[in-house]
Amino acid sequence: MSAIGKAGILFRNGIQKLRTWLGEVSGWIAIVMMLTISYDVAMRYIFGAPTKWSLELNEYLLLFLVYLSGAWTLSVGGHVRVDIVYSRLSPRTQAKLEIFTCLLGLIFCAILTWQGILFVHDGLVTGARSETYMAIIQWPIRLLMVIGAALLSLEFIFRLSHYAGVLISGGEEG
Amino acid sequence: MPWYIILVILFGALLVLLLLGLPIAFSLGIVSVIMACIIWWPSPMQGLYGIALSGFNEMTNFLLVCVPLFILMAEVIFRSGAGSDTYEVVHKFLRGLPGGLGMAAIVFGMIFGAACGASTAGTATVGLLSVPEMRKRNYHPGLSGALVAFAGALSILIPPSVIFILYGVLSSVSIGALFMGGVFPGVIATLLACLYVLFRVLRNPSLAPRAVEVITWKERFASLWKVWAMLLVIIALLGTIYLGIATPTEASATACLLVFIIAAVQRRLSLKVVREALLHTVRVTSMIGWIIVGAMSFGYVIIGSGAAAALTEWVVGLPLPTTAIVIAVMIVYLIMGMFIDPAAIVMMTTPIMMPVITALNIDPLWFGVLLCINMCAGNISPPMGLNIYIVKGLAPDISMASLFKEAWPLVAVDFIVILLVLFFPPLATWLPSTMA
Repeated sequence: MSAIGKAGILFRNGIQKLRTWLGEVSGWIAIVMMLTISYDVAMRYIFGAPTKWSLELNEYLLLFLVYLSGAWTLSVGGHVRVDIVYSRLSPRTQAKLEIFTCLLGLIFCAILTWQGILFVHDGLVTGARSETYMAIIQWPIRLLMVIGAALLSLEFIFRLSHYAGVLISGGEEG
Repeated sequence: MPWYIILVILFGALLVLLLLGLPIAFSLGIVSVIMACIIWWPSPMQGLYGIALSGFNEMTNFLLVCVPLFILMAEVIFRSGAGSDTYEVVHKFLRGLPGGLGMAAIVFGMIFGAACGASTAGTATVGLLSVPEMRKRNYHPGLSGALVAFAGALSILIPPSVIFILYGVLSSVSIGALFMGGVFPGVIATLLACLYVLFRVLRNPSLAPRAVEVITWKERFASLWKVWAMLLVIIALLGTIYLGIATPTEASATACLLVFIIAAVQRRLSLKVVREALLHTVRVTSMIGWIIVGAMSFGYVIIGSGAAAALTEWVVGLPLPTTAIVIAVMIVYLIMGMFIDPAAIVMMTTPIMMPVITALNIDPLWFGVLLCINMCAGNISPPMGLNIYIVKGLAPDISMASLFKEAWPLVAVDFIVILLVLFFPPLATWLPSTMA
């Protein structure tokens, strides 16, 4: 196998490890959300001194959870889809259809990545901050969307190459 | 381009992509990207930037924070075994009746719905617990599967409910009020479905063979002992929201924590259980989140193209009474529900419908409850009712044809509830009006 091919496989394995890890981490983010909000509730109703950070922090944690777990969710088939037509096709036709739909998914996620980068850039230039007491600098939070969309784009590319392989090998597997 | 052409192209293209098997979140996204390029031509950048921003902005919302927490709570209840104990109770109380196991599935769907906000999780839980019992007793496979799908859909009508949360975020109606608005319709749907089972089984007893062994009342009440703590948490959860003591997000976090503590004290929490619950929570939350991204892009294009405003103008100008318009809208929703996932329908249509609702002076709370009942029907209606597919996944030997055949009468049950709420709005609006 060529050096580029090997590098490609290394890269793919690395990215896939990363997205699986992000899926796991996102779960523990939900625990952090549960604990911080409960803490805020306790401070508010028992001690009459609610936190100033819980609300905003949890908004950002939700963005983390949703965006960074998108690629993992795709890899485990978690995004709702309709397979009423798909399930009746031969493996070969299924592979062709997958290539078409993955391409469309890739285009959307790539555009989201690209526009997201512009959004981050805008945040860097203007130094935008949240309009709250916390005044959090915004670009790192916008970066969550870029990373999430980029990982999803890569996941679509991996799927494309997988189904292209199925087509080339004659469509017996997959 | 005339507005109706834009709408036809958008929805037509969406339907084709869905049928080809592209997940709904990305179908919505790619359709809006292409349409944005056409509409904003020759400067498509503006439209694309707007698309990227709309999803991001909508997701940065504290109200949405309760979505993963409600999902996590239901997951822990189910995986720690508290779900099966609750089913046990319902089962023991109802199994003696004709079609008792079918009713047990429906009533359990209602009770679990009070801990669970997503119909996928609801259906999977009801199905895993009740399908084996019904199969053991030789219930008609199609009927038992369809009942599970119906019972699972109750999760989005009985509070908490992801559908109400999404609708509340977009319509600015209080989520707590929407939750309470779903209570009576949910209970009515449960009772009607039980009556339907009774009617079917009395006419044809071979559908649901009766139980032979006798259960004493002592055994029945003994089964309650194991579940009282979890039930108390759920009652407290809904009670604090009803009394206005806590917001849905605050209530979701504390109830979730309490469920964890109870499960730990009862020694039912292992690292494996926690990990599985967390992974499922991430899966469902991410799915919903990406649907929000896609649906907001879609909404951005429909509004940006002017189609939404033109639609409002057209609907408001129709020489029809408001009730007729609401009925027509409900029929459109029912048809959409046959093809598209409820969360996606709510996300993409609410921004379009809100101006119409305001212009016609319709109570948005009442409309939201109607919409939610409609989505229950959409979840179980052929040819793409999501819950039917989940049941099929749990019990692959039940044929799709028989599931669909048995699902139609239950869609009719949901439709009767829609008509009841349509003509007696207090069924939806009275309970919220008594909130503090």
